[in-house]
Amino acid sequence: MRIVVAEDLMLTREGIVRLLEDSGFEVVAQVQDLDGLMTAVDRSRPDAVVTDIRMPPSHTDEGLIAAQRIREGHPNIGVLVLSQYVEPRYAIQLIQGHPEGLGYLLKERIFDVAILVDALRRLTEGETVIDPTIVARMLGRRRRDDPTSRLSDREREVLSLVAEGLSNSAIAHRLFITERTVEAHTTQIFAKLDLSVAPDSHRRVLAVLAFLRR
Amino acid sequence: MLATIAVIGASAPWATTYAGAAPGSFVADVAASAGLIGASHLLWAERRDRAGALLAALAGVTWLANDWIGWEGGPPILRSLAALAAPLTIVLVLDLVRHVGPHASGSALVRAGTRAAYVVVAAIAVAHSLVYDPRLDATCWNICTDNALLVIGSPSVADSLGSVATLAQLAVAAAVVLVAASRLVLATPTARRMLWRIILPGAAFGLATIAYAVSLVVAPLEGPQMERYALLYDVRAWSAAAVALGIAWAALRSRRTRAALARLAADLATVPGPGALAATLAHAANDPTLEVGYWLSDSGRLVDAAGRTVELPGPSDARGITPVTRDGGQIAVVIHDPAAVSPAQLEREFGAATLLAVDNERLQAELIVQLMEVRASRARIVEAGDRERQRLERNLHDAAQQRLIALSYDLRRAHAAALACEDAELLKVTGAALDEVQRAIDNLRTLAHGIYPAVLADAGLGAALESLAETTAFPLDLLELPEGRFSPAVERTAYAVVVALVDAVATDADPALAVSITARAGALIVAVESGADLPPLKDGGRVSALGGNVTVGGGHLQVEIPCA
Repeated sequence: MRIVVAEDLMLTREGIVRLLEDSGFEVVAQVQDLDGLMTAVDRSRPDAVVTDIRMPPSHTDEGLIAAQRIREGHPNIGVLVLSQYVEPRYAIQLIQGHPEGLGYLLKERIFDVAILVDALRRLTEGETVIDPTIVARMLGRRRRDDPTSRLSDREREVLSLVAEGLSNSAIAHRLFITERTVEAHTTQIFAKLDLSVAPDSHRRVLAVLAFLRR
Repeated sequence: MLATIAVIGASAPWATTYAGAAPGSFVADVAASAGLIGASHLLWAERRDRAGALLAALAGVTWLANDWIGWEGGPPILRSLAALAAPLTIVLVLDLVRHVGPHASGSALVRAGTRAAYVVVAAIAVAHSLVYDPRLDATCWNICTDNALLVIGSPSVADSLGSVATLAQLAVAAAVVLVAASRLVLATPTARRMLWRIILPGAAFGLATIAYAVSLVVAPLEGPQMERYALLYDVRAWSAAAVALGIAWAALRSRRTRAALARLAADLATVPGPGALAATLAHAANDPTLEVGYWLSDSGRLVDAAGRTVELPGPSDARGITPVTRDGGQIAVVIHDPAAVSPAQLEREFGAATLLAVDNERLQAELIVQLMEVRASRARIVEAGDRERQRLERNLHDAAQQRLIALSYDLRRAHAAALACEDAELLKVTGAALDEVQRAIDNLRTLAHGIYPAVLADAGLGAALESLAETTAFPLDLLELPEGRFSPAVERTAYAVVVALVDAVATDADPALAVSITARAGALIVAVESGADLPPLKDGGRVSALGGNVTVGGGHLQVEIPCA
């Protein structure tokens, strides 16, 4: 799999590149800002991009802007945005509209090789990846008359995996249960939360995240 | 009044009235009655002492009764009734002296005595008229033909009643003098200045009446042709006229004070605001382009009354400058169109009052400028602090956190290596180290967020508060959040207010907060509701540094932050 890495801090960039190469990925370009990233994507047409959220020129949300532009120009390229912020807003902003092939992970997460490989594989297959810490934070919000309090522990578990972007088969695999059981759980969860069942897993992520944001 | 003068004219050739007997007495008579009735009018119009006005009018009328008694050929019933009224003058004077002016004699004794005097004097007069037959009276001088009220003529009873009436006059007159003296003595200096003009003539009237009564006892034969009685009549008449004058003076003074107070109130309501001078001058000179600039003594800047910088007209500007100087120094300039008013003309018009207004407005402008500078510098301090915090937050992320992440990457490689060669000891160490690094990254992240939440700078107040609501240990309801962006200082101040309140109520038994943030014209309003009483805001300094204000009441707190 061909990857472009965008990260302005050399130390981290080199770490990511080495990790990717160690895991059998081909890093076709290393860039350090938004413009460099866009040029590299246009030139080398990678399968996926791993980008820092904060880069020159403004050091704010260049990663999100890059994801947006890549989505428009090359909808088949997966984009994994790495962030140092546990901010659901950025994750939601990233996947708003078209969550396919987009991912938001905390920076330190990807140094767990298994997670990195899994995330890139899922992205290139068109799935969505949301960091579990972000999901946990949204689920942990204190609310008056919290509707999620009606969920059983297992249902909460399934709900967070849905919010992380996992498909039913992935959830089944993760929890060592059958896909049918997962389906039963999700039907139950959507009924309890008074959400209409989404047609596909992407819409499902958006619906759940929007619900948790309420 | 006019009828009375006619009556006097119609009186018998032998004098039956004092006023008809001598021109001097006539003038005194008119002065007394016209004076009392006129003063009563003035006092009545003042609305403040209508009882006093009534007393003065009645005194004037009863004084006139003396003339009606002696109306030779007039209706007998009228003359007899006049004879009933005339003795009441002294009682009315007593009532006036007791009543008029500030701090009317409140003594119950004096009030009861006055009321008793009315009753006694009137009763004696009535009783006298029932038995008095003038045709049997040797001393009769003014009403000698008949008595319309006569029931049974009894010279001896009438005589006795006449003596009693004289004694009653004497007693009431003495009371007038006593009450007058006590009121003057007891009055405050201010009240005394008001009262003496009424009370002293009243006392003189009392003394003259005493003399008159004593004289009647000593020499019962009365008449205007007798010098002593004529003199006593004149003294009493002029005293009554002086009482009237005193009442009129008090009424006019009261009117003047009222008008002055009304003027003062009107003046106070229209104390000129900053810029009034320029507006007045522009209006007077009929030049809407006219400006007044004040030189600030410390910075040498030229500003208008509201503290805004004023530019002197350039060479292409048709307007000219007239300097305003004081003690040889220029304190202000008037920028105006010379076509409307020439500098020489303007300078001539600058009187002391204008200079005073210039000085006043210049000092005001100086204060306003200083206030603006202090405010701006406080806001700058807050902004500088925010920038420093933001820089720190970035440094923590870009330097410290990156190094920790790099470290965690190395540790993971070591961990993977240990896993590969199945070194249980090393695995334990690297595993523990990885956990430790993750904890350090988490702590650093929390620290950086506390110093300056990046989401606040990147995505604004609403986003930052939504993020905050996800981490509070109790429900933080965000009822209303603004869509747009505001200046960093304003956003961070509003955010800091909510964070301070979240911290403050965190220890409550059942904490809960509801936050509404709305942008109104020129200000951002942060309204926070809590079930329990809210403590005073800890970080209020930021709010006031930006020129905002905080209002707290019970479980409600509202912060208003001005934003351009």
